[in-house]
Amino acid sequence: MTRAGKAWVLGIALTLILIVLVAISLRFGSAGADSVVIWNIRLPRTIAAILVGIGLASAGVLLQGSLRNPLADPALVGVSAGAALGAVLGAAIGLPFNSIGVTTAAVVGSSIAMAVVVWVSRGNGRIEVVTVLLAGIAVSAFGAAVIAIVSSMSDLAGVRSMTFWTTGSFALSNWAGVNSMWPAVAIGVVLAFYLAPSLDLLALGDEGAYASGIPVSRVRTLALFAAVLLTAAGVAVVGIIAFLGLVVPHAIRLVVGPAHRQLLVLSAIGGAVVLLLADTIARLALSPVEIPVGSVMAIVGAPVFFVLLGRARNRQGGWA
Amino acid sequence: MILAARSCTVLGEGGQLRLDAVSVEVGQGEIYAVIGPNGAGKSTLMGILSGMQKVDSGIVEFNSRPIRDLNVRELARARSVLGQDLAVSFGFTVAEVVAWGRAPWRGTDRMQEDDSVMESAMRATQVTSLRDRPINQLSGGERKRVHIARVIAQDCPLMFFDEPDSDLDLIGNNELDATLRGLQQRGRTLVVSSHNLSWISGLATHVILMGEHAIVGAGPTKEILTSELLSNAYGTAINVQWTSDPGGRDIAMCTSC
Repeated sequence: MTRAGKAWVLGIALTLILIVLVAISLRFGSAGADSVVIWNIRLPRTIAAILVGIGLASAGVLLQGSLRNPLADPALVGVSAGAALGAVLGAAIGLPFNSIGVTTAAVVGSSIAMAVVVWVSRGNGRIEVVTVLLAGIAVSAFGAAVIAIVSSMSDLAGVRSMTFWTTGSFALSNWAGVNSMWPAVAIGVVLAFYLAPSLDLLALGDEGAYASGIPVSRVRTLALFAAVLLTAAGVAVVGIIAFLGLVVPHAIRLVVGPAHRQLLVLSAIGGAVVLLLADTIARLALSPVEIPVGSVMAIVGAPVFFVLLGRARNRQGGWA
Repeated sequence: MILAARSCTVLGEGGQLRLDAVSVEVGQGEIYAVIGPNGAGKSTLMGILSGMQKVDSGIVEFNSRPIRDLNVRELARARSVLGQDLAVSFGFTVAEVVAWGRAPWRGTDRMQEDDSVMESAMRATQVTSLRDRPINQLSGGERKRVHIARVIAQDCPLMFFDEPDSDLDLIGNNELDATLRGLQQRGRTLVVSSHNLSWISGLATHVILMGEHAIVGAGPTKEILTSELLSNAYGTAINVQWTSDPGGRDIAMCTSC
């Protein structure tokens, strides 16, 4: 089968799975299935999981393509920590959680984190693969430290604990949360789709892409900004969920290849499927106790990361 | 004259000289070879002539228009470039990579030619049978040919090839030679850098000889490939002997003593 044929089959299959998961997610839970519970609790939570899944997987595609780095993920490069810090600081100055205000603060924090990581990782006209991850570790540690300090100084900690930010949870996703994130996700997805053909050529490297007519800096800046929007919108409402942006695009690439239009669309749907599945497992596995959804993702994602790490290292002949 | 550099100076990081007030003209429809020892500034000269690198002083003109006035897309319709860094991230196929050569023509009438131009570029470089293979799984020589196909598919009047022969074996080099001649016969202007002086002597109509960040000699191939000029540029005694190859082409045998 051609790659285009596989893409259609995969797209339809993923969409059908998503529909089934939505039904399961709405039907089952620790409480009964009356209309108030479904409408006010489970539906916004389900939509939030879909939006965050679309956002993180698309952001992963954008980061990997624009940085030429198969290991890039919003959480691993520090963008998510920047968003969480922005959201906490926004809340600390009095903006309500699950509002456009806090989303904006998260976008600002996330943009700064992105800029720092890219700036640190530049050298010889390229953005170094491993330095991006190392810078991401530092930015994440810094973000976590400041969140801890700010939380302990105010009464924010009671509402959103450190665990909430570091492992992510959909428990606080209500309609306000959905409304605070969908505009940024929509803008990010449209921007990503528009940039996709140019991202393909970035695989040639900056010089090759420029020689082929691609305005490299503009494409990269816009792609990174779209990744920031797609990440920050979700993080402000559900905290940091790692590895989704790494695992989903990688799996999709194995089936349909790396061309970005297909990769983006299928990763977006795939991200929604995987995260909704992870949240359903998180809610139901040990019901009525809830596992943090980020933990579910990390258990699946970390081994995949190790495989990718080994492969990248072989290809580049070690990093020492 | 399609291209001209007028007293162009380029400074590297830290201000050291890369090119020192270089002037050169490139005539329409010819094959220009850029030769010289390592570090003489061949790549830098190719860089400023192709608009990939900015000059610190002086001016480069494409069709009598300052090349810095062309935006990135106009530039990509004026000239194509085969660079030296040909790594491709992710598992793109040969057909996808060759199709990138058509990117500058998106949204123009010339999109109609996409398929025919790509097919003939792949045929000329003999990569048609590799079209569905991921480029990262190919040998160095095959990869080089795929990128040459991409650069040809870009279909520009002016084409730059920075050491196109570096990964090719003897047969690959003969095919490259035929491909480049074919491009010239179709009216294209070529600028080619290489360390293989014998090959260049049979291919190029003109030679630009670099030494120590400046042009030591530029002109018709036979006037530049002389013992005296080469010895001067390479800083060592080089003997040049012109002979005919079996195809009746004049070839310079260059040996350093």
